[in-house]
Amino acid sequence: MAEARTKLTPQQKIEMARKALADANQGNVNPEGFAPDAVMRGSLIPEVRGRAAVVAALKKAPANFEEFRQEPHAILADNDHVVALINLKVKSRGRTIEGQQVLVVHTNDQGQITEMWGMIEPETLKRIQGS
Amino acid sequence: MAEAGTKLSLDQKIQVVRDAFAAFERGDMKALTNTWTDDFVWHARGSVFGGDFKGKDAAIGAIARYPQELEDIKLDFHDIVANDKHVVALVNSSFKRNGKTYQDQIVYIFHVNDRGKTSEAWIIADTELAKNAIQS
Repeated sequence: MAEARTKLTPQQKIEMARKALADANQGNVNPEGFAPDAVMRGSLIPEVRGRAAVVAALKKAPANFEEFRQEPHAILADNDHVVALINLKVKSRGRTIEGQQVLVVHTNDQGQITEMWGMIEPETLKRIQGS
Repeated sequence: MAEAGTKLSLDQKIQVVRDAFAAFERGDMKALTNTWTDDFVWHARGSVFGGDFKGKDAAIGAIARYPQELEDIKLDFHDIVANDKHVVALVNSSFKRNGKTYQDQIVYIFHVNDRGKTSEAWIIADTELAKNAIQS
């Protein structure tokens, strides 16, 4: 019954997501949090495939800004998805831009991210891209 | 303990959202607005018809533009996730405009109160895709 022992509950996935976001705010991305064939697409990052590429992209994106903070407003999960509603704060060229971001994540039974999709509210995205 | 008696389960809150989508899809705007509180707010800054619309009349006026300006709108649930405060619907959508079909992935976020009414809703979509369709 190995599968039963390793399968994570939605609440466990929520806790993992909360820790991953806290770590990301410190500039840390744990490669073991991603499946080897992980895929990520998002408003600020073109589609990237594979664990190494995803981790590299996640580390690189915040480096483009003076500050890049993702504060979870709520994290929800079921057996298939984790959804994080995020208050995003970005500082670029002295300007602070705040808005809402949604991260939708598919995980496997071990809680590793297999697919991640990040959307930023379009008005916020325009201000970030124009900054 | 009226409050305890009316508190909804997560499945019941999800059903409120499913019912709202079903009403929209069959064009029953009265049934749709019946799922809302009187002070419902539609946050559509993440949509092609952007803005924040406060009150039922303003919200339904904004939402009614979708079937007026887009054709053959399809909204297929990929998943609906809920907790005590939020219901989040992940939706694969498509619509036609001037004979072309556009596909999009949309996140809808709802606050559903314990009386089964939605007080606020947000939409985040790939607005550029939809705007390009509208302007084409």
